[in-house]
Amino acid sequence: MNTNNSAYEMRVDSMSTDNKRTMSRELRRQRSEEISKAIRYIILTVGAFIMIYPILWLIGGTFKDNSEIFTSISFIPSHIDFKAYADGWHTRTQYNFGKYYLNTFMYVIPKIFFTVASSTLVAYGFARFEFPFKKILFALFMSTLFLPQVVIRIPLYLMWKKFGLLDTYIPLIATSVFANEPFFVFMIIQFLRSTPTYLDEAATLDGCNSFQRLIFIILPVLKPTIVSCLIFQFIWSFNDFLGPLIYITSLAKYPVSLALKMSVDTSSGVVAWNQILAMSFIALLPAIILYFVAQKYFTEGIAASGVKG
Amino acid sequence: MKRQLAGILAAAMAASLMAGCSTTNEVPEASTGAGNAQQASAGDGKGVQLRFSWWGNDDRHQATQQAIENFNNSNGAGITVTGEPSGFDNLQETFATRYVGGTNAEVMTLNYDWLATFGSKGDGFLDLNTVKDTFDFTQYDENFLKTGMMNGVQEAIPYGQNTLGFYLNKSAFERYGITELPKTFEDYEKDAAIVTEKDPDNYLVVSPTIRFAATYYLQQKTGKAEFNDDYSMNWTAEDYQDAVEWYKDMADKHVFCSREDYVENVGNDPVSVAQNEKFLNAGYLGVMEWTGGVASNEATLKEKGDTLVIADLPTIDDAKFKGTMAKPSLLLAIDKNCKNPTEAAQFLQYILNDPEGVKIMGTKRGMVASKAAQKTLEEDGQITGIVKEAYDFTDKADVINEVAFFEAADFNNAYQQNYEQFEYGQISAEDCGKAIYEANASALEALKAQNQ
Amino acid sequence: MNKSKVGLLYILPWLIGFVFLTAYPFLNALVTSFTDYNLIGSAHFVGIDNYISLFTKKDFIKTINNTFVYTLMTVPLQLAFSLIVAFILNFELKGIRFYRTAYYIPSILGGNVAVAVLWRFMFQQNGVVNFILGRFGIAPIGWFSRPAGAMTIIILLKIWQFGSSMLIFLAALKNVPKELYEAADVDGAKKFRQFFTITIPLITPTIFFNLVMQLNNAFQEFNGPYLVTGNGPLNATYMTSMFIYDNAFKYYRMGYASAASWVLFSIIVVITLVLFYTQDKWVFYSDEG
Repeated sequence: MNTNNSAYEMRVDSMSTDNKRTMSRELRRQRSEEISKAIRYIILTVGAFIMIYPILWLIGGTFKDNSEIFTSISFIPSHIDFKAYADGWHTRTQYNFGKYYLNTFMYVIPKIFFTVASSTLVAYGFARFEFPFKKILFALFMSTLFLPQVVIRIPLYLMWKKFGLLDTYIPLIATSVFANEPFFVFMIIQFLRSTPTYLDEAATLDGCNSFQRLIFIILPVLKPTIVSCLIFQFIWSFNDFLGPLIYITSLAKYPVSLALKMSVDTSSGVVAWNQILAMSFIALLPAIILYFVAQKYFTEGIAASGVKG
Repeated sequence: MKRQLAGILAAAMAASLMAGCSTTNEVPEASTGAGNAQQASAGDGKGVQLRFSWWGNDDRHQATQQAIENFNNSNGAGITVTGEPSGFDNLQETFATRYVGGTNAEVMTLNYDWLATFGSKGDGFLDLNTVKDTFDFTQYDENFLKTGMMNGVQEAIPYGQNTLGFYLNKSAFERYGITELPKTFEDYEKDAAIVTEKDPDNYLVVSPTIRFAATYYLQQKTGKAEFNDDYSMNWTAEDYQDAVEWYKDMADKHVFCSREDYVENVGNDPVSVAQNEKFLNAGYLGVMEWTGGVASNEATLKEKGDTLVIADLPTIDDAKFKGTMAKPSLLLAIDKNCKNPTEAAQFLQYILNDPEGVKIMGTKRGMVASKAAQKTLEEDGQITGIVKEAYDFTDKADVINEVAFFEAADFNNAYQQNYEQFEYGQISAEDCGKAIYEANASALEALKAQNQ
Repeated sequence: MNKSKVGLLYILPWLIGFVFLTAYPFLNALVTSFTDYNLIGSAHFVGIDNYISLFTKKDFIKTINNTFVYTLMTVPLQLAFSLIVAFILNFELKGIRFYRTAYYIPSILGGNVAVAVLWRFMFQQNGVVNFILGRFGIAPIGWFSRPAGAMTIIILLKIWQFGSSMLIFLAALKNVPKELYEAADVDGAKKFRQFFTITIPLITPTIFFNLVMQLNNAFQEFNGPYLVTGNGPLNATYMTSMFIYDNAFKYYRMGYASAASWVLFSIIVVITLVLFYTQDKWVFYSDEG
């Protein structure tokens, strides 16, 4: 180590004696780069603070009394005590939050799986093939995005009732199974269309059929997009309140989003807000962790997938 | 035809997919799950399954679950009740969807206006006269029981009475040197002057909707309720004009909070102020509210070290009626298609009248209307503090019960929108009175048409 | 193999679902819009009465107006903001993963109670915003009780929750081959120019996607105002989607709500169609010759 270091220093020394002027310019450049880097970090940090402030406040709130929660913008509590977490986790129903977590994953995981699988298939169909009535079908497909969901809630509910599937997770999963969430499909279509087709064409010449092309050529390119679909679907279905509220009636099947709001009723007495904040913080963690971890997959991007532009 | 076929096919596919999932994950509760209750009860003879739906906070959930458990263990008739608790968010929408789908619980909790909306013809819920041998109606005041009646049919049982009152932050008044709480509107005006001299942004009383104060005023002025059972009106456009002018004057004097101040500090809709910053910091020195909400207001103020008390009802000059309005806090009803009405009534009897059930249910739903229940709770020492005060207040207060459709959203909206425009200087008081009158009249017209 | 059949096969899952999950309830809503259905009792056919009364009612026109203002303000701002932030967060800086997470957090929070409470704190009379404005000598503003103030609040809220479109831009930026930059790799100022000459054209399909989605979201905005300002003073933040919701589940006028939905639907469809036609001018797809 030592010898290495001194060797390095020596080299620097000899360089500097050789070429002092270049070196000082180099130093100045480095310093100005460092300053600009520092400025960049300061701006990023200030921005980040504004962005995460609500989470800090939420965490602070878990240690506060009701009156303190609603009268102070500061996130620093007057005392620290994890009782709200323990009480909130155990709940006062016959199930604890662990049960509600399990319930949530019972439909969130299939939902994510189906979203990725069927949205990719459908997007591939729309983006890479010509078929009769494609324009009309695509228009129909897009238009389903634009009708306010409020008015189709009751007809859908009555339909699921006819199928005898109320109080199951099926109504919550079905839209993903059938790729009826145009957001994901359209997103993948747009990404597909910004990838050149000559690779597929080359693969066709190599004798790949369309499905093989999808698996071996398209999927690797789509990886960042699919990861973002996964993140979105996780967050949205994990947070979805209205869907479960209408379709799920048994406490034993309640997901986290319902359990969180189950005791929020200020008209009926005192609501333990610190417990609700504690549980809603815990409910946010999986999404934050998932996002933090999954980032690796977009930072790799196309460069790592071996496809060159 | 083809479309239906495709739909069924797709659903079958979905179902088979899901079946795969659920066998591996196994939901043990599924077989006794609430969704299957009705079907299960038909075949099993003795094992009657019932569901009970309600909303509330943790305390209420815990007490109710406990009562259900006790009932299930002790009813001796093999009745099993399952709870369907919920919070308050999107409650109305969920209820409407389930009601339309015919999937609501056999025993359900109702808001007052739902009774009017879904039961206006008297056929929306089970006619409770059919179970009067099981449920003891004699524990209820006959007049008050009428609030659960639509079109002459007893469709629901009112749980307790909600009375509109004035609740004042005694500690805050004392900080301004006011030791005697205001009793008349003149007192309020005088005290408001003292308070605003020091803190010009403060108001004495926050009324979550101008309708509370306006109804209070007009009931006293006319001695009558706003509407009658036959969808006719008792108040004129001039009355409404008078009420909004009165309120505006009171708001200018900082007795009642102005609409502008409410929107700025609380929000757009009428909500409980128990979590409101301005209320907790005594920027409002009191609140006009139903007795049902007073416990939570008192509890959060107490954390701040302040005391909330129930004030004497002030009266306006030349009052024809010296009291306030009342309504049921919530109601309980049985599904009209319930296959086991007797068992459902047995459960209601247990939670509403039976000493054992009443003790467990406690005061988590505010005050009780059943005399037996009140006696049980008093003997059990559960009626204390502000709840006790609320009982005493209710006993003393003269009330006019407003009809069930009084609470329909159209009417609240008519007041809120038009008063706001008046206060913001968009329309005159006269136009405002007229607009409220006309909006109410046309909403009543629509209700009437619906029920013929 | 016949190409035309294969394409249909791939979109089959959607087509099946479309029939029963979407088309059926949509047609149901269309039929309802011509009736006086109120959830209770039977529905009667009323022709286009619902549509006529919508356009003669001040309320509805006001919500359409608000929705347009909101859309015109939020969409360009959020689009620009999310693209710029994505561009910055795409740099390989130390600890960048932390920053990428931090900037996405507002979107994870969604309608969390913390958002509602804090936005009230920030804009209230003695709140942070008025405090900062006070430093510049501006008198405190009643943000919530003034129509323009309330609208500003929900616009800022929307822009603050830019994470989803930022994430999509990040994914797109990663798809831009690095070689293109390396070829022209130079210092500071030129990086910025590269952004316009190389990056932007390559991600136009994603920009288009975000534009369509944000327009749609803005036109159907419900959560922001619902959480923070409600209808607002003088209905200043009363959006069409809230009008639809109120009529459906507060006033139980399902027919009316359905009619309003179809009006909103038509507006979004027309605007989206126009956008799709402009694509040829500015969106560059690599799958086209």
